Amino acid sequence: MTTQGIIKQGVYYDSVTLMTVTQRINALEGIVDSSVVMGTRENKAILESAGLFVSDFADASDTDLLISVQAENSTFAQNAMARLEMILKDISSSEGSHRRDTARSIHDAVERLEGSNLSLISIAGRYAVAEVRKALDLGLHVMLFSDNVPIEDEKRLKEEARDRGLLLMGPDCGTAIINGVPLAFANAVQRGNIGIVAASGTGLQEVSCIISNRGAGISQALGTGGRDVKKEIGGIMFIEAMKALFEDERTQCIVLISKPPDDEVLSLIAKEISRTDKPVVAMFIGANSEKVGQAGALPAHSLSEAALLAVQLSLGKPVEDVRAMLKSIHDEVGSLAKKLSPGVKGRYVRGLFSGGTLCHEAQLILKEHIGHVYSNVPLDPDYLLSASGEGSFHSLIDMGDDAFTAGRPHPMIDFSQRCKRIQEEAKNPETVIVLFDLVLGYGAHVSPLDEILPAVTAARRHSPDLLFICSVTGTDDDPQNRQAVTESLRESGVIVMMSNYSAALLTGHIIKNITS
Amino acid sequence: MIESFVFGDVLPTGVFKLHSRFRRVSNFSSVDGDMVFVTDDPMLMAGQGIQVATNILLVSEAVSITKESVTIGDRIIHRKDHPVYTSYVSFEGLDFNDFETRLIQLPEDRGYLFPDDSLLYVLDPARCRFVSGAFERKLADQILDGAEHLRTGRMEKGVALLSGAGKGLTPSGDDFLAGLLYAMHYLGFKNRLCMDTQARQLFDISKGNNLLVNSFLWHAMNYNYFQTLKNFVYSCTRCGCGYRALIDLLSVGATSGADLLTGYIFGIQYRIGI
Repeated sequence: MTTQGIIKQGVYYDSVTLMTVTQRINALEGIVDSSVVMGTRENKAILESAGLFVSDFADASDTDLLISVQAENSTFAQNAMARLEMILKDISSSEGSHRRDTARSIHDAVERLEGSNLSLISIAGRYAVAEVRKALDLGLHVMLFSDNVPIEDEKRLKEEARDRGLLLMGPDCGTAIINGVPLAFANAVQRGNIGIVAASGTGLQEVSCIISNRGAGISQALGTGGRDVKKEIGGIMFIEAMKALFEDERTQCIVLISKPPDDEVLSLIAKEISRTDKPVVAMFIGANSEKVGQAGALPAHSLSEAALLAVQLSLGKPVEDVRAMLKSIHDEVGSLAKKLSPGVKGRYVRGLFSGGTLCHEAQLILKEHIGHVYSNVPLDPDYLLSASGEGSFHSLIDMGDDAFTAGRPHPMIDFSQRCKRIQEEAKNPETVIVLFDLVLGYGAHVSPLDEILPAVTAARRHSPDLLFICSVTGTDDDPQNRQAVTESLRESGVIVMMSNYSAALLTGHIIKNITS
Repeated sequence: MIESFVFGDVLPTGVFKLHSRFRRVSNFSSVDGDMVFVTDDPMLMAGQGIQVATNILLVSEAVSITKESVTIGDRIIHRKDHPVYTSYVSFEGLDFNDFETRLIQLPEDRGYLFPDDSLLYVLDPARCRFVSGAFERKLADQILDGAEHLRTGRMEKGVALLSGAGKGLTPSGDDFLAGLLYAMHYLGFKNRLCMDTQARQLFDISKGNNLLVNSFLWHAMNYNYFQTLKNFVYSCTRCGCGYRALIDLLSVGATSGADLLTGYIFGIQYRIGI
C-alpha cells in the first residue's frame, strides 16, 4: 500500500467539480482511497489520521488544494496522479475553449454563421424577451427553450413574429426537428413525409419515435410551447406552424398534438384544418374531438393512435386498419395483465414520469379503467396531490414539473429524484406497481440505465413482488439505443411496453384485475 | 447588448480584481480582502453579488464599484437604474413554534433529499451508514465531536473542530458554521437578544486565509442571506418548508447547501450561542 499526494496552488474548483474528480480517481484500477480537499489545518490533521497525508502537505495553506491517493502499489498511484493531471487539464481547457468559442451576442453569432436563420435561446426567462426581440429583428426564427416568460410578453412576441413571417417556438419549447436536425430534447428519427405541430414536448417525442420505429419518418416537427393553445395566446404559433407545414413540400401529412386547447383556439385550429388538402391527424389529449373531426381531421385518442394513423397515411395504407392494430394491442395487454395479476401484493399504482404529456395521457387511460388518480398535474383539481407530491391512493407524478426541477436539471437528465422516489415507494406496502417512462434521445441522460437499474434492483430487494412497468420513448438510432436499453431493463425484471399508451393500459388492467 | 442588472444591497465599494472563475460565477477581491461576485444565475444572488443578463461579463478581469456606478470590464452601469437584491430576512410576526417544528422535523421528513455525503448525520446519526472512505470517517468523527462540544456549550472548542474541516471549496464544516451564524440571527430575534458578540466570536475562530470562506462567513455573521437561503427561510415561515425552496438550497454546491441547512437546524434546535 502506498500513499501519494500533490498540492495545487492558486487554482479554484467548485465543489461539484472536486467531487467529480474524487469519484473519477476512486474508479481507477488499484486505487484504495483518495481525497481532494482544501489545505486547511483541520483537513491536514484529518488526512494524517486517515493515513492520507504526505509530507509535502505540511506547508500547504488553506487556499491550496490537496490531492491524496492511496493505492495498492506505487504504479497504480503514479497512474492515478498522471490521470489526475489530465482530468484537471480537461476541466481547464474545456472552460477556456468555452470562453473562446462562445459568441458574445446574437449579432456576433449571426456574423459568425453566414446564412443562419434560426436561433435557439435558453437563458433565464426574465432576460429572454430582449434576446428574442433581437433575434426577430435579425430575421431569425426562434426556438425559445426558456420558461418563466410572462404570458403578455409571449403574446406580444408571437404577434411580432407572425407579422414578420417568422416562427417563435416557445417559450418552454423543449423539442423540435427542423429539416432533420433535432433541437434540444429530440430523437434520432427517420426522415419522411410526416410533419408534426405540438404544444407538447414529450408528446412530440413519443409520436415521432413511434412513427420512426414503425418505418415512416418526420419531415418537420415544430414545438410551440404548451401555453400557445391557451386563450391568452390564442394559438398564434400553433396556427403559423400548421401553415408552414401546409406549404412545406416535403410534408405530406400532418399530426397535431396538444393537451386540450382553449375552445376558441380549437375552433381556429379546426378552421385552419379545413383549409388544407393534406391529411391531418389531431390528438388533443382529453379534448372533445368532434370539432376537428368535422373540419376534416382524423381524431386520435392517444399518442399511439395518432402515430399509427400518421404512419398509415404516410405509407399510403388504409387508416381503417388502425382500429385492428389497437384491438391487437388491447388483446395483448389484456393477456399480459392476466398473467401478471395473480400473486401481486399491494393496491396502488405510483407513476413517476419525466414527460408531462405522458403523465397526462396515462391519467386519461387509467381513468377509463380505475377512475381518477391523484397527481401534481391532475385532470381534475379535486385530485391534486399535496405540494410535496407524496403518493396517496393511486398517483401519477410529473417529475418534470417546476416543483421538482427548480435548481436542478430536468428528470430526463437527472434521475436522482426519481431514483429516490422509487426507493420510497418500494417501502410502501400498498404500492403494487411503479409505472415510469424513460425518454431517450439527444439532451437526455446518455446512460440512463446506470441510474435507474440500481434503483430498481434496490427497490426489488426490499419489495420483491413489486411490478415495474416502463415505456421507452426513443429509437435504435438514439445515442442510448432503444433496443439495448429495452433489453437491459427486461433482464432486470422491468416490464417494458412499446408505448406510454400500452404501459398505462397494462397498469389499468392489472389494477382492475386486483380490485375485481 | 446587456439590458438587465441586479445589484446586491451590501456591495462594498472599491476596485476588485479577478480572484476565481467558475462556470456561472466570477469572484473578485480587493486588496482589503473584500469580495464581490458577478453571476448570470439568479439563484446564486446575494448581497455582495452583481447579477448580469448573460455570461458575457463573467469573463471580465476587474470590477470597480462606487456608490453611484459599477464598472465591469469596460462597461459602466449606473446603479440607480437597476433593481437591488435585498439580503435581509425579517422574522417579524413569525409563529416561532411552528417555524421550529417544521425545521426540526425536516431531517426525518426530507432527509432522503439531502446528499448522502452531507453532514446531516449530525442530526440523524443513522446516516453515518453513508460515510465511506478513510478521510470521510475521520471527518465524521471530528464533526460529531465538534457538534457535541457545541451542544454542551463549549462553543470555542466546537467551532475549532468544525472550522476548515471537510470537502469542498468552502469546507463542509465552514458551511455548517455559516448555518449556525444564520441560526443566531433567528435566535436573537426570537429571544430579543443581541447575538453579535457570539457571532463575532464564532467568525473570529473560523476565519483563515481563504478569502472565499472568510467572505462567506462574514456575510453569515452579518445576516446577509443569499437568494436560495432567503427563499427557503421565507418558505418555512409562511407555508411549511417549501419543497421547491428546499431543493434549491440543497442544490447549492455538492453539499454546501445541505451542510449549511444542517448547521442552521442544529443551531436552532440546540439554541447555540444562547
